[in-house]
Amino acid sequence: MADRRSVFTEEVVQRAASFACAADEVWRLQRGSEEDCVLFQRWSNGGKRITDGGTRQGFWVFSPGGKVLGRINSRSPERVGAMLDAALERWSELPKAERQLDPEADRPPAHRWEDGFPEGGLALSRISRDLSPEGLSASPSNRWNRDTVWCSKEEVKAMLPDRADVLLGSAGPEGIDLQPLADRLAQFALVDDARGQTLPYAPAEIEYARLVGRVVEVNGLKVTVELSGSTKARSADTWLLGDNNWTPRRRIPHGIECELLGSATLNLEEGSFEAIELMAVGTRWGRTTFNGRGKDLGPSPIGFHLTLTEDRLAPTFASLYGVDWIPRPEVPTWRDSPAESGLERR
Amino acid sequence: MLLATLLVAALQQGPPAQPTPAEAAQSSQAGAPQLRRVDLEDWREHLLPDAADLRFARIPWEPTFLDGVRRASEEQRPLLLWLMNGHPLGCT
Repeated sequence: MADRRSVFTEEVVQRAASFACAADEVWRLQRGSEEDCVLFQRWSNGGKRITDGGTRQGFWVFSPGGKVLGRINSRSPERVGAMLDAALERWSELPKAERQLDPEADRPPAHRWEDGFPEGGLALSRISRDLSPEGLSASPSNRWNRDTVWCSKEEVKAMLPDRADVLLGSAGPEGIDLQPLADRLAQFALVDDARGQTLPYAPAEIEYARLVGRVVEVNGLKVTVELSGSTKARSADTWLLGDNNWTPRRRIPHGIECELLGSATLNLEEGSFEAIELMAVGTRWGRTTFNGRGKDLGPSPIGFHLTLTEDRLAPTFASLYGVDWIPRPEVPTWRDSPAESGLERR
Repeated sequence: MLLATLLVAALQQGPPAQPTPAEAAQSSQAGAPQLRRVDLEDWREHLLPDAADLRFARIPWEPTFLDGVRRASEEQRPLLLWLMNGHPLGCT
């Protein structure tokens, strides 16, 4: 995320106004065989499917007809800006006929993880950030990342008591037990990705995960709760989440433990969260292959902020949630490259 | 006599209590900043990205390649496509 800050200067943001802009995940696009993946591969690779492993990360400029007008993979705003200027120059010289998307090429993919967005459920944005041992008295680190967390409508309903339970105090002296949310956070969200993508934890690697809501106000059908909890996860030299695109080549010990505090407004009639804000502060240690901790095995502090979002971006580890309400692709992505799957090239 | 008294007292107390998860975390998190409810507003400001962090988010990104292609065609503009390992608008 520090790279985004350096690349997206005011000048680059202003230049972007001349373009229709899109962002997407490169790994799937350059290896997959869904319709949108094939379209990208043909456009970016001279009309052919991509079979090599070289990354296509970075900034591309295409005409809507599929002509490459520019490409760069750089953190330099000056170089990115120069590429955008050159691409606009090429665009201005492009015949009108090449400025249209061929209707035949407009084929939606059969599957995207965003299709699993939990309508009526819980969608959280999650920010992670490296912390200083000095905590709030230090300047915020520029190492941060973002992700989302999903719970289905049914999962949320099952988590919350009905109104009578709360009013009668039968939610227990500790409050409303939000164990399913605690488990989801500990497995997939409270992870050490402030410097780059990391790995989730298997249920067996969660030493504990607790989140409770203590009722502080009841206002008709709405209940305000103070949230508190704690989590600890530890991964040794094993990988317990199966054969998939996250399976690491090297298994490196790592772990994290957090204290959580926050608040939420629950609508018990709807069985929904009307508001939630949760913060976590804790300690991470060890590393994973791509999370940028090669020279920083810790332990060191890390923090998280979670709140409701309308963003439909899929959680990074949606494919590992292990739930039936998130549709899965017919052909698993990790076996989806022509070289690996032997699929017929089109 | 003193030894016997101490022994009886220890036996009456039973085995040492197991630490709660919160206590266990506290004990092994020596050096981690403390999260207190009274500081939550400050933590929010500390943890959330600032305006410079979020300059990229001022650009109206379509969330997929195909959505971007369609918009580019409709608006008769070139498509700027940003690709990363992990969705650029999410975890990279």
